Amino acid sequence: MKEAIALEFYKTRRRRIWVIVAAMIFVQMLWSMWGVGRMDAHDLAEGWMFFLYKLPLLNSIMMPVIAAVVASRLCDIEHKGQTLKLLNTVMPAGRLFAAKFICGALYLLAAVLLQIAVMVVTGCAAGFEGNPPLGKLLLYLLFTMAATLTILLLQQVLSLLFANQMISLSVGLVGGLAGLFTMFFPQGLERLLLWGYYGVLMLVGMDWDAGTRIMDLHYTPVDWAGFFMLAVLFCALYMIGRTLFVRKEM
Amino acid sequence: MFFRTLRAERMKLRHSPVWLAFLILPVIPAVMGTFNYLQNIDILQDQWYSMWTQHTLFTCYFFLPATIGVYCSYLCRLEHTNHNWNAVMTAPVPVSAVYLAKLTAASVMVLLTQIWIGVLFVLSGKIFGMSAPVPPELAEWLLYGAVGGIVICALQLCISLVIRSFAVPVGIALIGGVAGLAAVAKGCGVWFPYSLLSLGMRANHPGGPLQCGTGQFFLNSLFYLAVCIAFAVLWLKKRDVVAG
Amino acid sequence: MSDRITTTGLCKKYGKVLRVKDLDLMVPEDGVYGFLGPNGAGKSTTMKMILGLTRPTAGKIVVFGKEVNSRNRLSILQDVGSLIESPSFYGHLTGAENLQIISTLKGVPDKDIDRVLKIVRLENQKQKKAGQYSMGMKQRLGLACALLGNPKLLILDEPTNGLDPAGIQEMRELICSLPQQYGMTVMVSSHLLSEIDQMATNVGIISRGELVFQDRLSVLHEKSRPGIAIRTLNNEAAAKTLFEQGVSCRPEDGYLLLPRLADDELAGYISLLFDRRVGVVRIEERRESLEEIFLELTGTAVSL
Repeated sequence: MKEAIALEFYKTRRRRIWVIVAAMIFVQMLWSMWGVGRMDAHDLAEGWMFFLYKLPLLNSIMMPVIAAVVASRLCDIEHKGQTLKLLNTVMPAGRLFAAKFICGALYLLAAVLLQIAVMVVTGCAAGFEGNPPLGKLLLYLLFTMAATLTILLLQQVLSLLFANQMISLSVGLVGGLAGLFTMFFPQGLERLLLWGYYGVLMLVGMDWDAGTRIMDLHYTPVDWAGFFMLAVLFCALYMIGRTLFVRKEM
Repeated sequence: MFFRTLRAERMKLRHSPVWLAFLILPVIPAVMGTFNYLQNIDILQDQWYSMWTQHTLFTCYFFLPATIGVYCSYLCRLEHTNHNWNAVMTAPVPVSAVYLAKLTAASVMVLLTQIWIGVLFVLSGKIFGMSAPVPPELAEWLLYGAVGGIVICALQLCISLVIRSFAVPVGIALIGGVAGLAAVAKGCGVWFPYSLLSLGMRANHPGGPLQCGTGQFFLNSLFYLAVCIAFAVLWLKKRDVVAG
Repeated sequence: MSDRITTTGLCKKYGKVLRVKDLDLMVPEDGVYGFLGPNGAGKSTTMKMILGLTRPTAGKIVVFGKEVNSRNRLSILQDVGSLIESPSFYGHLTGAENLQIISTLKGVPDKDIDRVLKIVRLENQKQKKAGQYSMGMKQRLGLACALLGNPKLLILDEPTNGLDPAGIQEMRELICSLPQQYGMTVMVSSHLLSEIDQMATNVGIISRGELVFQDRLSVLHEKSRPGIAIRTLNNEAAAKTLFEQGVSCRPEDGYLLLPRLADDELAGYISLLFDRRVGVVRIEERRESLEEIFLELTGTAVSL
């Protein structure tokens, strides 16, 4: 299995997948730091919460597209080279599926870790009050990865089953858009849509005081039920997707 | 010569599920935008104009550039596979016709999307009993937005010509859209190709004139279009055809 | 009789390596020109340069009496049909739709599509998506695209690739008939000697980027040096006798190979062998095969 994963990375040599991922994360983090410079004392006190509030919002736009791009690049090489037929004779299809997924997951893990690193560095430099909340950051890592990996899984299934990458990328875009908007909807609707789980698993809530126009952030209790739903969805998706791929006639 | 190429381009797009994304995509911001507007109706008091900001916000900066990126990637993908560049470049049509035909195909899609956005906008307003009359500037916004959209098409086609992967130009389009947001916020939107779309559609200030001035808008759009066309033609002419 | 294609000093450099060196091709107007060479010799590169797909590093190309440059290119291409590398097609469209695209670009009327489909025998599969074609069908579709509009010049890069023996024969007969029936000049590249041998009237052999032979096919055949092979009941004795006479011979597969001899010389040696009581049971003429000639010219073996 380890070799299979190593092979996936080998296949993407010179494809520089990390370039586009890094570029997108870079842009996202620049965006998240917008306004950090102009923070007053009140904002700085809530600095860490500000990041933990803003990042999931930005994630819901950018991460589905990043996941779609990573999955598409990993699977596209097989379609272009028509190598699925060849690989099917040297390794079980299920293993190929798992190896590709893990390869993509590692790219995305690196991306989220980079996000956290930038958050910590910027927060300390800007003078956010208090030390970086490690517990919350770890939860952020867990939840962001959970949602992103499920999306990656879906994207991979689509990219493998359909040679025309337009389908998987369109779904990625539409999903990201829909996910963003469920954040503006009442709580219930977010759970129905996979892309809404960035919002469901958000750690910070916001009170908007219309009168004083001040934004107040506070930590909300973790929605473990939502996380559980996501895990169930992931498993179901994995089983269905893997079966579809294994059964597919080359 | 050009019309022949255009007809051929249309034939190539048969049996392609292209229009699906363009059809579904604007519906979501329309629904959400309307909802958002209704939720905040006490703050957003400008009726049609406020609802417009809600409808266009996410479309202009993220999802329309990305969708255009997908479409242009697909248009070029048709030629990148099956050694099709050999056939395209040995056809007795000038290189500029090849690029312009693809640009036209993409632009038509953009125009149709704009019309669809307009239809959805009017529908949403009417359904929720907007009392004021439909803003007369709507057509103007859609048209100017189309111009901005066509600039993005030209740019994305150039990117997809050079980068043969499908997904990477889409990522670039999204980055471009986000950067466009930053450019508009800084006030230099008119100089950045990706923000011409949102400027044209008056995503931020629907009531008034173009933030940057009409002349500047058209001049810059034409400039970017000219640069892209020149680049594409030179690129195709000077490079050895590598079809594999 | 003029040449359809002439190249003068054609060179192409990739990186630091000169892949095509000083090529002086002359493709005459009538007949089939067979462009022969081992894999990687530069056949496809040369053909791409003729079509303007690749820019030469040096040299001049003249097609239809006009020099190939950016001004003439389109008018030249109007009368050229080509199949380079692999057949090009749009997988999600049917065979007929693919042909319709090419015919639109070339300005050729629609009924020509049925004509070329009939020539390549793809009429029954024209409604099938090209992505589902077998390799042979894709090859035939590529040929059909090249034939649209009845071009004056046809450039085919390994047209029998992927075809079964029946298909190869059909393709060969078709290519041979094109000059007579339609007045087309056909330039075919291949590394299959047997095919070129049966199809071509003129041959150009390219090896490592250089042209090592260019002439009529008959001249190539004449290069083979015929010899005599004899089989006797006692080959060693025969060999010794001939050696005494100053004739060197080489044993092979139970035969003795003798160099080219005049008829009366040969008759003399044979009767000498009879005198020495060596029974001669076979006298055959052996010609050097085309493979061997090719090997000598290119210094490499023909690849599979």
